[in-house]
Amino acid sequence: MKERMGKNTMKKRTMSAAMTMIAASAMTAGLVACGDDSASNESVPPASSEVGVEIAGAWARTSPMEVTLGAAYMTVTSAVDDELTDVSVDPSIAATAEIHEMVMAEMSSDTTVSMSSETTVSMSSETTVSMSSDTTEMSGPGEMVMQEVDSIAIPAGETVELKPGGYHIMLIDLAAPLEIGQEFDIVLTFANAGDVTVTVVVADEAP
Amino acid sequence: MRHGTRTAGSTKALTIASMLVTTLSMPSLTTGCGGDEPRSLGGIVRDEPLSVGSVAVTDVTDTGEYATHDGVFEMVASTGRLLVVYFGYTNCPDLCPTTLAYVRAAKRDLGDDGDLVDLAMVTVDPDRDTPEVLNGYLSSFTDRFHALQPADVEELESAENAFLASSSIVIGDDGAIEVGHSATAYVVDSSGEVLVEWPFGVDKDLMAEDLRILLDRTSKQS
Ligand SMILES: [Cu+2]
Repeated sequence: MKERMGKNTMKKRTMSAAMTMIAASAMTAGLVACGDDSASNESVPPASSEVGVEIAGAWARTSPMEVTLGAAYMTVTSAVDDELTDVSVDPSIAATAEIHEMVMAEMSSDTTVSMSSETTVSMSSETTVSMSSDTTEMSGPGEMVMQEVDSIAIPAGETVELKPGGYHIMLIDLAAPLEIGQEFDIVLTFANAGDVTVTVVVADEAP
Repeated sequence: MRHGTRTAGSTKALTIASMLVTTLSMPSLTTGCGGDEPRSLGGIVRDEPLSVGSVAVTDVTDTGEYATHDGVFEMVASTGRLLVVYFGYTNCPDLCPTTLAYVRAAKRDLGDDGDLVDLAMVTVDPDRDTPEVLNGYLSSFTDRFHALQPADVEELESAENAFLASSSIVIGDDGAIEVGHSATAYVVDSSGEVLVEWPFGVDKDLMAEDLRILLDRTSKQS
């Protein structure tokens, strides 16, 4: 059900990356000059495979209380065209790991997800909202939803970011809360490079 | 069960891009940090600010500074304080904790003045986000929070409408619950006016700077 957009990975990626970040990039652009300590001090050296995949800046967020879902992020660079096809984590960390992506929901008629038979939408008549005229004049932000993707393309020479609002590695059914400073391994499976193990550091925010 | 898509599709035609261009003004940022020039807000400021003070949501806060309440929370800041409002849910591993962690960091960066900033989160997934879950979750970010669990769909929607926020829940055949939500955070003053909106992606430095500016204005008024 999460794969309702099927294999449409690249098209959707372009969409979501372009649309969701407009607001943010427009605003954060001006802040670069503020000299924050944004130069990341990676405590873990980049993982690399023989075939040239490099992974850097891998981190996972501390999990808030009552939460059994986690997310891990990193950047991936490959010398040749490659594809991240699978992720896994030791059961002592989480029961499952999946590749996920945030996308805008209901963008336009082209891109609106059509509810196929695989998804059931329960909607009671009382919940259909008719927006009053004064709210339709103004607009709020669109909705974002999370979905599983089959793979992430890693074009040769490009750095693909897994970061909040874009791709993440979702950790499902955490065995224990992720504590700040904790480290654990995630195995990334690439079509070309094969399995690459990366050590993830748990932090409150991106390093 | 209250699950269902609760959003009117027609209102989603406008994209963020057109929204920013047509209905919002975003002041350009001052390039110097902490310079002499008057500072302007980095988030989104509407020509006609949203007024949300009449919005009331069921308050289930039972820990932290605001554990004592009368069961309903109205979207206004206390005098001399600011209120950050967020619509989210706890089974949200990416957007929600990113934004809430930035709010936490921004409050920390403000030092003692960070204590003048309160957080209210309205869960858009009130079936799963029980009072226990919500209180635990929010206390990971601050002890000055209001945990708001709408009693029914109407209560959630009227709150969302006032903020021009929206959400939807879709249940798959396999029982998986997919939640969609607009992921903006709002800063509200003691008159119930939204002073600035932070769409997802706004970082902690910008939040801290905006809060600094707004707290300065607030202290001059009082
Ligand atoms: Cu996810």
